[in-house]
Amino acid sequence: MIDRIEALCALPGVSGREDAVRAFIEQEIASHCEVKTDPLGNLIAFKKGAARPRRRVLLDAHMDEVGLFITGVTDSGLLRFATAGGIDPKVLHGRRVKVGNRYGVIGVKPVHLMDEEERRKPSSAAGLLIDIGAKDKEEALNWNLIGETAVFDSRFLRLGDKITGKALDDRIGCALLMEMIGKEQPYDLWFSFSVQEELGTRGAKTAAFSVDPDCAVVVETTTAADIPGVEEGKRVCLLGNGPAVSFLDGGTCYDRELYSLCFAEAEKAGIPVQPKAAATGGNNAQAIHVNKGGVRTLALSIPCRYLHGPYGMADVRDIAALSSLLPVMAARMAE
Amino acid sequence: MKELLFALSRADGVAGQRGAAKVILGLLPACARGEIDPLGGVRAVMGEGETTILLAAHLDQVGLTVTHITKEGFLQAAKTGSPDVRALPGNLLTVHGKRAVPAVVCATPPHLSKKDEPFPSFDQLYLDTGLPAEEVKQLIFPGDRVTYDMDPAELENGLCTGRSFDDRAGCAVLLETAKRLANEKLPCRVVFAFTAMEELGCQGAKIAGFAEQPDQALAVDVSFGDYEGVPAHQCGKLGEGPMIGVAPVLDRGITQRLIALAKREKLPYQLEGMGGKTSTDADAITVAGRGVPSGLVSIPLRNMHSPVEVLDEKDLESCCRLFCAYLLEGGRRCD
Repeated sequence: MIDRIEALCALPGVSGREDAVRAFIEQEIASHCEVKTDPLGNLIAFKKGAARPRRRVLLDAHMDEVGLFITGVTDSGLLRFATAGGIDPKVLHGRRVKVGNRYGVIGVKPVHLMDEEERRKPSSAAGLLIDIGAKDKEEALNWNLIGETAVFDSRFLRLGDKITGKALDDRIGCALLMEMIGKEQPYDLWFSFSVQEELGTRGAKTAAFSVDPDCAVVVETTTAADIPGVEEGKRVCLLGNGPAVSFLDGGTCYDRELYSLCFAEAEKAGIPVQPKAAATGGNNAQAIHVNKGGVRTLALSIPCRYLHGPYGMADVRDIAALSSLLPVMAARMAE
Repeated sequence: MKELLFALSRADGVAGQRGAAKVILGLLPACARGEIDPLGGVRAVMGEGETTILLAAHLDQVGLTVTHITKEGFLQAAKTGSPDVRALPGNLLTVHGKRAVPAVVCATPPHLSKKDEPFPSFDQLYLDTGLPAEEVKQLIFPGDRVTYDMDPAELENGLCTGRSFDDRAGCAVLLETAKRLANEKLPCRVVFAFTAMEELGCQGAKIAGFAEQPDQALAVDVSFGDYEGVPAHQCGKLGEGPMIGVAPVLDRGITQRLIALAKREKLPYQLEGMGGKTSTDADAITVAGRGVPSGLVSIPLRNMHSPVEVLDEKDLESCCRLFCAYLLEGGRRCD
């Protein structure tokens, strides 16, 4: 499982440019299911189970990651960019990125030439530039980089029970769904590996329309704020305490019955789970639960520190717990 | 010289660490007698003659030092030198405990991040190894050094990017100069001084200048490279040659000779005028013992003190040729 997450995280897949991720997933799952790519680029899979379900269940994870979109070139050959997805500009200063196959660095004014106040003031993303070593504007324009995307140049590391790297959001979800597709299931299931979540859950909207499910499980990562300086009531969820189950966030009021069922089933199976103890954020559930005549939706997330930065951190025990819980919940929702 | 620079960039040498010194000892030509000095610098001697010329580049890099371990196992650290705090939130560092332990710098979670919130100060930073507190306490002890995790890489047009080019760039120039002069008959005694603790206040240059009491000294360090948003008059241009320092504390005869030699050898060079001191090892060496007339040459460098410093390899080559020419003349100063 962790090897597969590592392979997925290594791939660049900024929103709208999920091609490499899609190709990888398609190749891995094709022999275990029926698979097609929809007009937006969502990869939709149908997995035949042992029996026909009473309800159509869709499991969704998004393929895209937050990143940068190159929008222009300055006279001195530096690249302007916009962020694709919500990235705090504070994690962009002085970082190395990959612009397509090229290395680039996001430059900063030297600390020596600023007073303490200026030193601590972040530039907006619009005020930052990527240096790829171009001589001038003409050379950079010749390389056709406008419209190209850039991702954090991060390594993937295992730190005891934790993993860290870029794009854990939501390649962990992709890996969990791929694992389910590779195993026998008691009922037929539908899966979407969706595009453009970070641009406003755009892919999930069309994927849900095509699949037309009765119920859905969104498999995600969510903010864990269990770090120093954050008071107990604002920590959202804790690494190592199991997958976080959403009841309410910025986009969705979740199905109460599924929420309760999830805790009951987890307890029965001895799998740790925790509530996502904050009503903030949002994910593909916001598009899926209002699909057509409405879809009863559950969101299960791996707690992740430093989300949307170059080095997120998640706990492999939470991933193992969700790997056990997902088939149980999918079967209960289908039957 | 790229391989040399990259090998030096990978070595660990925050003040107090010996990694860089050991790498440098291994890279010196066999004829140079190299030793580690009491503060952790390296000095090596080549050639014989009445005149002793000391070449200085500092081997230490900016970093942090662990000051405290919280009961949850997070680390607090103080700056050692002036690392760029903007490059820290959410980024990966290496803590040099009983083994090298990767750690992610805590970043404010998105739901708690206020718009325009400043970068944290160093005493608000926490490092997250992902390991249980008991294991952290076994591996890491206050006083352990912390470095940026960044492998060097190439940009376009022969530009190089990485950490610690300040002043491993200077160290690379010294090592290459030693190598090229190893088979030459030198008219003078040359001391190659890779000084410790420049970033803390030039302590290594102070003791090297005193211990060797040379007749002349040349320091090589880095200076600000051209970049958008940095005042052009404070910068040298990457690729347009090393910057020969012109300052009241420097010896005018040496400075003029360096300029004359650059012209004679048809080497590109730039002038860097400074009003008083130079903020380099030259400041300490000039007043070491009974005093040492000194010159200064600087490599233009972007994003100084960040993990994504950028320089042009060509400037290292030109600087090395200039030093070879100067030493082969035995340090003849202009009148």
